[in-house]
Formats: sequence, structure tokens, C-alpha cells
Amino acid sequence: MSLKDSIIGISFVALMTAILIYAFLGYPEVGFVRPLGEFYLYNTFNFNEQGWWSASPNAVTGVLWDYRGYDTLYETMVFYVGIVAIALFFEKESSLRRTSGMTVIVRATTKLVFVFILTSAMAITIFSVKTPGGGFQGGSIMAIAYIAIIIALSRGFLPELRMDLSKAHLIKIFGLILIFSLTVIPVAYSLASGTVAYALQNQPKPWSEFGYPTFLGLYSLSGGMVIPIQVGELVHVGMGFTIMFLILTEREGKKELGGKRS
Amino acid sequence: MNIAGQLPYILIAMMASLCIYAILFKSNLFKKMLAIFLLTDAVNLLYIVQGYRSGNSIPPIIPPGMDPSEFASLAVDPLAHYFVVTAVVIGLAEVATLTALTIYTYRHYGTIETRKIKELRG
Repeated sequence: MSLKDSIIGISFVALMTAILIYAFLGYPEVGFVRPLGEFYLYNTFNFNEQGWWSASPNAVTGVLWDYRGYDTLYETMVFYVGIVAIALFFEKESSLRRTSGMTVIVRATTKLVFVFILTSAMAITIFSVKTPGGGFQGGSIMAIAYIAIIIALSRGFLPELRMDLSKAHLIKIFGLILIFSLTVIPVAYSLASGTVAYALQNQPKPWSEFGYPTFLGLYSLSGGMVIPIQVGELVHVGMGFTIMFLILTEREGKKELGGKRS
Repeated sequence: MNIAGQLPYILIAMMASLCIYAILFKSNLFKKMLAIFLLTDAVNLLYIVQGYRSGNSIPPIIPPGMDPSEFASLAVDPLAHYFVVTAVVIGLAEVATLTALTIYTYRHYGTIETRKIKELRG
């Protein structure tokens, strides 16, 4: 890099930083929560005024699938389109050849850890109404389990776990169907009973009686439709990332990722 | 003005401008991709800083038996956390798509340097 390039780079970064800091001057100082955030916090698990509640003690999960449910639904679609784009670029079905993978210690440990990672992904998703977590996070962890298998045991081991590219697509679509059916159940109820209910409605509103059942006795498992829809999201995101990595780890030539030459 | 309260914004501004510089001036597609990913993280950091509440703040999960109005005056902003949760996954999907495009470019041209690709065409 020449001196001229360095001067151009440093002055560009300095100018850009100055512009951005000037833009940030209008923001409030750190430590101020906006009224909209306080509305969500006040209403998300409010027993006494249940008109706007989401029945989820975790306010983030409440916002995710109740207050801003449509947003999340469209984010799910964006994620789906991203996977479809990758699958279009590399449409050729890859051959899942079995190679030796890494050493026997790594392989044995990975097989054990695989089960634990899947269990923790399920736990993070199901208890997301009480603890931090959710379908996106659980799905990312679920994909890590399969990526560990791909790296340590080679891609050819996946058929032994009854998993390949087309099956991963199938399971992902099952998750999408779960999300979609939970979205349209209130509409079907509205058409059948003649009352007002909206798509993706979780809890009753002052003018609309429809609400998914909540289990308030089990404090950790409340939230109406939030938990099943998070499970759908877990399956969708987890299988989506698995598909991505199955496609992206495909290599031309004979070398498998992390394995020996076959 | 309290300068200490503005420090996170200065950090984010520097991070974002470095990333914009890399996206505009670096010729390696992989470096451009890394810069896009880091720019996403800078924006996520901006969201989290915006939603933070100083003092004895608590996470946005209501403890059993706490009054909702007390909770609303203590907890950090859940909306910022919500945006980051979705943005992280979408950012990862974006990076995976860009990786696929980069691999495709490499297989087609044999290089991921944009300058060399330009020379190949001319």
C-alpha cells in the first residue's frame, strides 16, 4: 500500500467517523429507555391488566412473537429466501462420501457432544419465555451440532444420522408449516365463530376474545402460542443453517473438510 | 454534555467507518464480506447501546412477584434486544449467501480480486 493510499484511507475514515458522530448527536445519552420499550415492559406479563399482555415473562420473546409477530414472520421469509438462493447456486446434489474424518478421540467425543448440543438447543427454545433464548438462538445451536459432525466425522457420516440435503429441506418445511398453521388458526376461528380475530393473534384483546391457552400454574411454560411457534422457528433455522453448511463445505476435488485425502 | 455517556457512540462510529472504508476500497471480495459482517455488528451494537439503561438495571425478564410498573422502570429496552435477535440471524444468512457468491466467483474466474476480474474481462 503506497503513502497516497494510506492518506486517502485515513482521511476517509476520519471524515466518515466525524459525520457519524455528528449524526449520533441527536440521540439521547446512554441510559434512557423510550416510552415504547416501557409499554412493552409494563404490559408483557401484567396480571391485573390483561388487555395488552403477551403472557410471556420474557419481554423479548413477547415482542418477538406477539407484539411484533409480523416482523418476525417476514424475517423468517427473508431467511428462507437466503437458503433458496444458496441452493440455486449449487443445485447439484453432493455425494456424501464416507471418509475417515479426524482422530478416534475427536470422533467419539463429537458423537457424545452431538446429543448434548441438540438437547441444549431444545431447552433454550422451550424455556425461552422464562430465560433468555428462542427459536433463532436454539436453531443456531442445533446447526452447530451438525457442523461439528461434518467437521469431525466427515459429511459421509450424516446418512447414519438419517440426515441428508433433501431430508433437511423436508424438516425445514415442516417447521414452516407449523409456524403458518399457528398463524392462520385465529383466522379460521374468526370465520367459524363470527367474532373478530387476527392472524398471529396470541392473547385476547379488549375487542377480540380469541386467545391461545396459557399455563400460568407452570410459570416457566406460559406464553400461549409462543412456545410451539418457537419450536417451528428452531427447526426452520437449525435445518436452514445445516443446509447452508452442507452446501458450502462441498469441495471440488477429492479432499473432504478436515479429513484425509481419499 | 456528558462525554462518558457518548463514548459507545464514538466507538460505533469508528467501527462503522472502518467497515465502510473496507467495503469501498478493498479489492478482495472476502475482505469486503468480512467488512459487511462487521458493519452489521456495529449496527447491532448501536441498538443495544440505545436500549441500555444505566444504574441498577435488570434484564427484560420479569422476576416472579415483581410489580409490572416497577419492572418497567428498571429493565432495559426489550425492543432493542428483539431487533438484534432477528438481525443476527438475517446477517448470518446474508453472509452465507455472500460466501456462496464468492465461491461461485472463484470457480468461474479463478480469483476473488475485483481488479484482476476487471482485467480478465478487458
